Amino acid sequence: MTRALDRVLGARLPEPPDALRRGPFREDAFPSPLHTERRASRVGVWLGAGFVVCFLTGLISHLVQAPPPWFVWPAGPVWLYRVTQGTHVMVGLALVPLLLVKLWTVYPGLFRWPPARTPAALVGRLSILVLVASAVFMLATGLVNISQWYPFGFSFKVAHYWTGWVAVGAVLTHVGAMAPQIRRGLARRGSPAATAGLEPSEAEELLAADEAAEDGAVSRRAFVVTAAVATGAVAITQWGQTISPLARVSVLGPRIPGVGPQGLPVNQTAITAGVTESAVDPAFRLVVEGPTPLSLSLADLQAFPQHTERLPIACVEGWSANAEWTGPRLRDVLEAAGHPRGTVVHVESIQTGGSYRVSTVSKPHSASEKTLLALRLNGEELDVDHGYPVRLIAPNRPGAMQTKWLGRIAPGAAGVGS
Amino acid sequence: MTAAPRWRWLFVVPGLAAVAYGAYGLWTSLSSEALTSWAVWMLGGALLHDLVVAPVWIGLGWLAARTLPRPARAPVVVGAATSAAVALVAAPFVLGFGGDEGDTSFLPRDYGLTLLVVVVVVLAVSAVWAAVRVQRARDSA
Repeated sequence: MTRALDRVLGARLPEPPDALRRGPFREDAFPSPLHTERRASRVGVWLGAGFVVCFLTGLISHLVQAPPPWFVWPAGPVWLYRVTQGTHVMVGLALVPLLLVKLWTVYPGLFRWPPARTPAALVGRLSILVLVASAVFMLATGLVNISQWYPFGFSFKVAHYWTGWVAVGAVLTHVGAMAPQIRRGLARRGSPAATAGLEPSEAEELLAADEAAEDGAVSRRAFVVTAAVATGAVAITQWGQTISPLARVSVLGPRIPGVGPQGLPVNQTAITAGVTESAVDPAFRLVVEGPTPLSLSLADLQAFPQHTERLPIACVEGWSANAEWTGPRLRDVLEAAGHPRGTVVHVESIQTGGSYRVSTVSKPHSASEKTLLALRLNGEELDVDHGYPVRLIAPNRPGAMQTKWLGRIAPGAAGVGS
Repeated sequence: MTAAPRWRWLFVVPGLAAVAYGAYGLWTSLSSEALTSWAVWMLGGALLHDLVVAPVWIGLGWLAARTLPRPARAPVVVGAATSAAVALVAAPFVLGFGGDEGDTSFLPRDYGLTLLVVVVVVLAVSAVWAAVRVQRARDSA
C-alpha cells in the first residue's frame, strides 16, 4: 500500500522544455543572497509565533461570544479581554510587514524549475498556496474589519473564524513539512547542523549565499533592520488605539482612546441603530421578565442604589478605553424581579437597525457586583450614542456584548447578535 | 539525506486536522454565494501578492541596484519598506469607506495628510542616511 502510494506520488512528471525557462524562471533571476532558507526560517519563527498568538486570542474572543457548554469566561480580572483582544489586533497588524518580508525571502520558490518534479512536489506546492492564501486572507480581512468596511459577500465573523483554523493549521503543517530546512536555518551559521542532510554541492552553495549575505549591498544586517523597522513603524503608528500612552504617536490608528462623546469612542451610533427618537421617548420602560415582572422608567432605575465602577470598553476591533460608569447593579434589579443571584439572562436593545441587538449575560457576569445597568458615564447622563437611557456594562466582556439602549431583560441565554 | 526530525509529526498531524476542521466549517457555514466570494478573496490575496506586490517591489529593487550607489541601497530599502508597510496598513483608514453614520470617534484624524507626512519624514531620514553613507564611503576611498 505504502509502496504503491510512494510510486504514484514519487513518479517523475514530464519536464517542460527548457525553451520555456525564461524571465523569472531563469536560474539567476533572483540574485540576492537573502532568498535563503536561513532568512526564511528566522523570519518564519516570528511570523509563525504571531499567527499562533492571533489564533489563540481569536479563539478566546470567539468562545466568549459563542460559548459552548464547557466554556466559562470569568468576570474578572476586568482587563483580561481587553488584553487578549488588544493583543489579537496589535499582533495581527504587526504581521502585515512580517508576512511580506517572509514572502519576499521565498519568492523565487514560486518560479522553481521544473515547477514540480513529482506529484508529491505538486501537492506540496498546492499546500503552500493554501498557506499563503489563508495567511493573506486573515490579515486582509482583519484589517478591513477594523476599518469597518465589508467589501465581500461573506460574514466577516464566520469567514475570519473558520479561515483562522485553516491558516493556523497550514502554518503548523508547513513547519512540520519544512522541518529539515528550519533545523538548518535556525542552526548557527557555518555549524555542521546548518548544512545537515545536504549534498556537498548544495551545502557549498548554501554557505556561499550565507557568506555573500554578510557583505552584500543589502546585507543580512540591512535585511534584519528592514524587517524590524517596518514592523516597529506599523506598531508605533497603530498600537495607540489599544495602548493609550502611545495614542499621541499612533498617528495612523483608527481610534484615539479619549476621543468620542463624553471622552469615549463609539462603535455603533444611535443613527445606525435607529433609536434617535425611541431612546429619548419619555414613555421609555425597561421590562424585566421574572417571577416579579418589572417595568422600569428611568426614574425607577435611578431609585435603585447607584454604584460607580471604572470599567473598560474593549472592542473586538482592538481599541479599548476606561470609563467611569454609574447605575444600579444588574444583580439588584434581577433580585427585585425575583431572580436568584447568578441567573443567566439575556438583554435586548430597543434598536431596530445595526447589529448586536441581544447579548447573553452568563453566570459570573450576572452575579458580579461590577455589572451595572449604566445610566451615567464619566459623571454625566449617558450620551445617546453610548446607549441612553440605559446600557449594560459588565467587566471583562467584548464591547459588542455591552448592549446599549436596553428595552428588555429576560431569563435564559440568547447568544449574541441580531 | 539524514532522516527528517521526528518532531515534524507534532506539527503536521494537528496542522492537517486544523485545516480539515476549518475547511469543514467554511463548507458548512457559508452559503454558495458566500463561498464564491471567500474563494475570490483567498485566491485574490495570493495572486495580488504574487503578481503585483512582489513584482513591483522586486522591480524597484532592480531599478535601485542600477541607479543608486552601493552604500545608498540599504538605507533606501529600509526607508521604502517602512513607508510601504505603514501606508499599506493605513490604506483602509485613508480610504475611509467604513464607519457608522454620525460616529465622530471613528477615524478622528486626517489620514491622507498624516500618512503623507509620515512617508515624507521616513523617506527624508533614509535619504539623509544614504547620503551620509555615500559620503563616508567616498572619504575612505
